[in-house]
Amino acid sequence: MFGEKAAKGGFKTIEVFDRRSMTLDELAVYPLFTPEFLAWLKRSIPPAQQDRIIYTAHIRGKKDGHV
Amino acid sequence: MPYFREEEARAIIQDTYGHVRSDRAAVAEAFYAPEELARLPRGAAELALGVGHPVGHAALQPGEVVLDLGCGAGIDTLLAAFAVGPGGRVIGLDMTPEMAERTQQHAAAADLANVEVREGLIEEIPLSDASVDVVLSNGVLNLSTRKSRALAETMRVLRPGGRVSLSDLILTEALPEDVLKSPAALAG
Repeated sequence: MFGEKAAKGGFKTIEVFDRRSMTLDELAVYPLFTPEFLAWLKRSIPPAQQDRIIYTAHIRGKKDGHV
Repeated sequence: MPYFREEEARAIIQDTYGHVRSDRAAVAEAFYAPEELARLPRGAAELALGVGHPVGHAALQPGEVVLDLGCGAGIDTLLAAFAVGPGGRVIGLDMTPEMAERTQQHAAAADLANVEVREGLIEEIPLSDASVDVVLSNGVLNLSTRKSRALAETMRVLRPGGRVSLSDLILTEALPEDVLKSPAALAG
């Protein structure tokens, strides 16, 4: 989806890599989230979804033309 | 369906990122090599909030002009500045004044004169057309309520042949409605 948006934006030679799932437990290292919020998130997202709903990925693309 | 108006979302994100504090570099240690972190002021590493290593994938060359969208406390801005060297230039852009100021402070602490920090929106990049060789972003585009606009702006400021190197979050399924309505989830 991310790559599709980039393609729609006009980028060429788009590469998507390093795609991996991010578990709710991994979010705990981010100081943006309190333990209370993470506990609420775990209660709110069905357990079967928790490890497959969030992914991280890297996209590399190029604008057409030459410098 | 958007649960927050653009202004609301922006205010929530600015408040969250403006007040974030950290005294450990757990996020940075997950994505960056120890020798990279050793070159940086501790604050830049402790406030790393990204989800990847866009500089590592960008193949930056000495002399290039780089734009870091949503530079935060500056970890990618500073690493890019080392990579492009004194003949290059890195512009860190962030809409949160506290974050822009942190990047400025960290660049000064690292003695990097080729860093310039601007306060502004990724949907309205305050740069002229075709003025940048490489655009970086790390965990920022997902926060935008106007992602297509941010990508169009990225395209506008890139020179022909310019590159993007973006790390970000992707949702593979819809989150429950309660989560989508949560300001804390929006900012994360």
